[in-house]
Amino acid sequence: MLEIKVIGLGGIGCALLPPLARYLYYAGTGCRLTLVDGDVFEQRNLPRQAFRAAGNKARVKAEEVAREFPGLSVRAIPEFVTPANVADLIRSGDAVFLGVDNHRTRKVVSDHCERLSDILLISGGNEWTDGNVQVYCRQGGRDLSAPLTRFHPEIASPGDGSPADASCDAAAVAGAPQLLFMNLAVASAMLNVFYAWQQGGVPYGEVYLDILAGRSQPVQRGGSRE
Amino acid sequence: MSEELRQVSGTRSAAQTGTAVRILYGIHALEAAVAGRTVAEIRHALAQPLNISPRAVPVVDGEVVAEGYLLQGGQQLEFVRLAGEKGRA
Repeated sequence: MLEIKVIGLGGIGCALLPPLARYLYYAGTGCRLTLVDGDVFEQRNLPRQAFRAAGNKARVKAEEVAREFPGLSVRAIPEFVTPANVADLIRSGDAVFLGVDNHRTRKVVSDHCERLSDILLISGGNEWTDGNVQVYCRQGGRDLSAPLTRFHPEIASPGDGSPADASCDAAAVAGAPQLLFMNLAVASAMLNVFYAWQQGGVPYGEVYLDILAGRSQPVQRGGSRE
Repeated sequence: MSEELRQVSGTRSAAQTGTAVRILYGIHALEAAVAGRTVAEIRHALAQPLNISPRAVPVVDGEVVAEGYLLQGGQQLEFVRLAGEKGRA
């Protein structure tokens, strides 16, 4: 049974979860959906995130998915990802959607995935009107594409903090304005990666998006490892 | 093609000379006759028109290279755009 983990249920996670759950439900493929987030929904999230109740994001969204798609296996883990729990949260064979707002968590997840035999990691991030999606795929202990850190020193040596131990400064950065449409564009690109992977392979390691320019650019970096 | 890149790529087309290098930065992609030029020269030529971050890592055909790396025809040079950071909050 395919284990699908959605880590981060903010702007991107809230945008990708409904179509992902609908797709999985009607595709009828056996899978289990696990939602991971230690944050809580607040009124200030409403401009970009749909939710029916206040409370922990993972629990609220898991209840919504279970109600709308009865029979779809879904569970909530109301925690932030940290070096201490990442091995319990992400296992070999998983497909992981990573929609977090900090590079420190991206590094924790990517570094852990490098130690697994088989993994699909799809990580999205954005600024106001542009963003990117990175794809890290391992099969049989071999990299089919690059981990998130290989070409991105800002992720390999993150200057930000984890939400699990966020300072006031980090919280202020995390609260910087974002555009709903950009979250949606990144979420859509992440789902496209998942579908391509299901169809046999993802022919790029990263895709860049700019909604003002109306353009996306997939990048295949070539070489022996991608 | 920017005026700066036109100056480093000469007047003949890449197709004519076989010196085409594919250059990427974020959503931007172009081909230019810049074989024999260094990564640093291309970065300097394109930094302003493409707004390339000084922190963007140069990658040629899947390998990180130094600024003094000499480009060859048929290669792909990417200045890796910094990853978007937000999405959850």
